[in-house]
Amino acid sequence: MTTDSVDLLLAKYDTLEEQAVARYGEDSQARVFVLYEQLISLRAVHSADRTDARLSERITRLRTDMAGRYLASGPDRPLELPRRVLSRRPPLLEYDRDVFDRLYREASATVVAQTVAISDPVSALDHLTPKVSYMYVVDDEERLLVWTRPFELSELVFGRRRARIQGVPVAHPMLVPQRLRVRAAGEIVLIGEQSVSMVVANTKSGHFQPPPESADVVREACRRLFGLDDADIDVFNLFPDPNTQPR
Amino acid sequence: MNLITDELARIDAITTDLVALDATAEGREALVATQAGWTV
Repeated sequence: MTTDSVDLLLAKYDTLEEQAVARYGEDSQARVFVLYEQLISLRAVHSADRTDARLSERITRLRTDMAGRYLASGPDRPLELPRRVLSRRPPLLEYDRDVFDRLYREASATVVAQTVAISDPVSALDHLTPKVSYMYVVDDEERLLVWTRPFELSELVFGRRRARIQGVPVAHPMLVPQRLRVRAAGEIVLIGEQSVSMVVANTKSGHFQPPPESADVVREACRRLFGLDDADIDVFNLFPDPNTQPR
Repeated sequence: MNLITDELARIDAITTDLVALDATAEGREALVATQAGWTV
């Protein structure tokens, strides 16, 4: 990598963010998505050569900025959902069986057939493409389950409402139809060429509305399965602590 | 350099996606929104 090429990449992302702010607003989702994509992009470059201080400084700044922006873009109070919090520490969430059977059961078999349990940093990339977003859960047995269908930026912007399987809008409970229990759920991006060396994830699941503790569950899974340090794991929490006052 | 080239191409792809979203009322609404979209 040359000095000029890194500078060019950073400058281009600066310009893209400025354009998003000018057109859509300071706190717009457009800006959040541009920053999220920038973080994935810079982590990919950084994972191949960790010596560039400009990249590490920008990544540090981005992950702090993104943490605040994700929380600010979530609901200001817990949503009424057909799911129960069985435990906060460690978190365990259960989706309602009747609602699931009515809305999602029929299509869930297809999703399960396309879902993999991630076991190590090398074989993970046999199933999943680096730098691409996927839906994941950490289930009640601490397994990291990822649906191998990749999601495009436009689908993520719409909250995956556009993504359907057999005509049914996709939802995280479809990954765990047997017990409908998870410790965490959201979107995950793996970074690395031959092996997973970094992870960017969030807890964006409207169906489970994971509490802040779910981010710790994802970090623990990434440490255990991929051997990563926390500095190489980003998990952005979207939902407020249920015990805090509304913003 | 290839990595940087890939990531510069990614910026072009993001820009293309944003333009396509902006072309529809629903897409523009999602881009301007201050809250994330999700299914419930």
